[in-house]
Amino acid sequence: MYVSVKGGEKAIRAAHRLLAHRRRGDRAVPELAADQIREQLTLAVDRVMNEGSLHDRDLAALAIKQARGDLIEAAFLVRAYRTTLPRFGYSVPLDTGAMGVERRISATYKDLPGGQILGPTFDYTHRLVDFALMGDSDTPLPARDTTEATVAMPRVTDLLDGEGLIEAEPAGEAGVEPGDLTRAPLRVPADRDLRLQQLARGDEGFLLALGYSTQRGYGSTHPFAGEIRIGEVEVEFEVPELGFAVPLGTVTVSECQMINQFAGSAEIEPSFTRGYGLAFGQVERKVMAMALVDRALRTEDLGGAVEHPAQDQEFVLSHADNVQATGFVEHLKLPHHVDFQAELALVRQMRREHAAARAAREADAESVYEEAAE
Amino acid sequence: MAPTATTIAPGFRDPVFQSQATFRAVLDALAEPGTERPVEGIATAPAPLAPVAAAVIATLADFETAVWRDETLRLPEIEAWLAFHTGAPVALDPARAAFALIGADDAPDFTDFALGSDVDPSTSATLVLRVAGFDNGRRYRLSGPGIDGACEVTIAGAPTDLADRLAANRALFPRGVDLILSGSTSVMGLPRTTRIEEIR
Amino acid sequence: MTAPIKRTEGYAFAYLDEQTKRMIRRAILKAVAIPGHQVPFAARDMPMPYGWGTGGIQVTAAILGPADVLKVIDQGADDTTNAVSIRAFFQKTAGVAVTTRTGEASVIQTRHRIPEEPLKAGQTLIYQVPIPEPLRFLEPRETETRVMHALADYGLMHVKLYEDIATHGHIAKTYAYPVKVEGRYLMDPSPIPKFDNPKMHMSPALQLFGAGREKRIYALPPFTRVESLDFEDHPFERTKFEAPCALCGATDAYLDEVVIDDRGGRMFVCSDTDHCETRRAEGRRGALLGDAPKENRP
Repeated sequence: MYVSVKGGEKAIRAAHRLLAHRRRGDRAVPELAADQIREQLTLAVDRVMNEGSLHDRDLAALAIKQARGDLIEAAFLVRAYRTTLPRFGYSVPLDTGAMGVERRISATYKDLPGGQILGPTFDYTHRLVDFALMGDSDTPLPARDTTEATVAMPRVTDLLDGEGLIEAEPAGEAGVEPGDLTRAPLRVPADRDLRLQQLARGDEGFLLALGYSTQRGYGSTHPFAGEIRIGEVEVEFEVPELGFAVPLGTVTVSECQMINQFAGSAEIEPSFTRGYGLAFGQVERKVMAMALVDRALRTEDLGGAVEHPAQDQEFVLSHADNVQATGFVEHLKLPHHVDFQAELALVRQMRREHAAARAAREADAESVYEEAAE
Repeated sequence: MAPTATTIAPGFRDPVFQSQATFRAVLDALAEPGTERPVEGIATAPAPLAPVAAAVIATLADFETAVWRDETLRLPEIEAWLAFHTGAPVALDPARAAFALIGADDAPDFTDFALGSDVDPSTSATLVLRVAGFDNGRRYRLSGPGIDGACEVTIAGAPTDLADRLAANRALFPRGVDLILSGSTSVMGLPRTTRIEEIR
Repeated sequence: MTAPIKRTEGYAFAYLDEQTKRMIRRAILKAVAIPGHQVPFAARDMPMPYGWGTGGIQVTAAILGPADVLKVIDQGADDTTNAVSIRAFFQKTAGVAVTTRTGEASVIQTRHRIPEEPLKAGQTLIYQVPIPEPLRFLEPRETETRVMHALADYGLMHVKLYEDIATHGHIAKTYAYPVKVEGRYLMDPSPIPKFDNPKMHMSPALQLFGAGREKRIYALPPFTRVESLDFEDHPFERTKFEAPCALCGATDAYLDEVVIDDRGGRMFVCSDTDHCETRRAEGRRGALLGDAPKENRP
């Protein structure tokens, strides 16, 4: 008898109930609280805020809990929530030069004004699983900096700029506001503002792979990590009625300035060029990869030929968004039997035709053989 | 003195549902050119901004779309009403307007407005043209997408050279402006695809 | 028809905020004014995945009003899981009446099918579209394909179809079969089987197409010429089925093949569940239901 494979609301409800059960896991283990995620899985929270395109640590933490730790699913939850939020306006550009720096390193200078600050890094940890963390850890408070004076910490690219060795920061067009690809559909070729926005929202794994590919010869940009800085910056909002900017609070951001060798072209003299990465939270890997890809995407602007995936705007920008990518890849599990039915009929027809053609050929060959034998 | 918020006349009583109903009327009007679609106008809109035209612009315009208005509408009450209820910037140059509120008198040449490009023909302007109504006036025969064969319509108070203007507009296809005619109680659509001839 | 239910509070009517609806409505109007042209729009992140109907959902949300009666189908059926999910979404957020009856619906959102019952004036059919660009699999770059549309340069597609004929003796395309709109724009009809293509031509209903991930909306106003691409010596042919529907005996409907055992047994039933149920309610019977008319028995 014909049993149709049909879901219906009952099946969907039952599936979601089971999903909630799996999320909760063994009831003998205390339930995870969103604030534990916010405080102790901070790097997951940072990633979800970036790919979810919304700075809200509590919401990102809750989304991670709801998504059972699937960070793309969590970013998706945050994105859908973001759609429902009213928009009041745009902040004043962040001044990362005035950052309250927690980590700052430069690979291009042994020492530099403001010094190198390691900060909370996995670098130089030996990746040995710490079984002490199985239980409650007795974690000491961090050492305090006892020096009184606050030292100025100029950006490395500004130091180079003073000497004219690095291209000037490409100036935006006067009077043209940066674009926003969440408010207008992205058209390629896109200017750098939109490219950077898409990269900041883009999938960390995708950017990592693309950035890595440029290091292996697929569009080499000869990069140096000029500076990576992580810390708090103030967000200011200009209120039209007041006529001046008011501070809204601070956010932690990671910024990477890659410095890339550039041999120059007929018009442009040899100099270093820039690749830039900026994102919420402590996301060093993301902003480094972003800076590599940003520079690769500037190939055409700098008179180079686009030959590799990381240099190809349309390719990179169209495929960087993991919420879009996961939806479309996963949509293949939706029923497609109407189209499959059409293809079934076609393949059967083509096989019949193929068999008939072969039979005809063989019959021909046989008659030729028979003729030859006669 | 510029009017203050307290003196601005009300807009839609129920913005969500009235704008939805107005949109559906405009959609049906443009999808089936030549059909008259009833619209509940905004009676409180300041004259000479016609109630139906006011409903159409309040439905479609916002801070993302500049609106051009003809001389007769450049009054402080109307400016304030449009600013308050739509937030739409004023377009001084017709070529930069997404929407235009125009009447038959002194209607600029349609090619003064954005016509879109061959790559992006959807970036052209939509003109909201005030007419007296659709009961009497000049008669036109229409054909094209949205029309089963051909149909005849009557339009009162449109520019006398409407058929010529629209024929010139049609020749630009896929570029060209689209017209929403706003009468006293209804709208009629004349998208760029419609072929029009006057019946004399 | 199921009467309106009280909609969930805390969300805007039909989920989208008014500014987003206006943006989508403006795109829809331009799409209607340029039949077959893909109008870019700023699609929002929706609470269901990209590729699962976010474009159709945004178009439906932008046009839906309290007086509408909504039908949602996927593969022709009202009770496939994604159709159930989308219908429930609009019941919750817009409180609209819903139906499975094609004739009762004012708005029908669909994935992969056009209902068998001819649509009427006043109805709107909204297609979910995964890849709106008919040339995408021949030329992956948007920068290239949009120029081809601007110039109405569709040589690439004609060459592809001609190569099919040279290799296979016929055009090897069974769904998402490209159409020409009003002799101007090449258009992807969404992945409907080519069986459904002729239903688009001069339909009295308004047809709207929404692609959320690709951020495009396009439209066919009622009474618009829609021709499936073909060649004079290889005219477009609609798919034919060898057997009638096993449940209702329909011979002019699109059928799903259902595997009934692991020994090659299979049967064919209507993909349009409403069409099939209506016919059975009218007393028509296919072979499987026993009292089938003699000529329909296997």
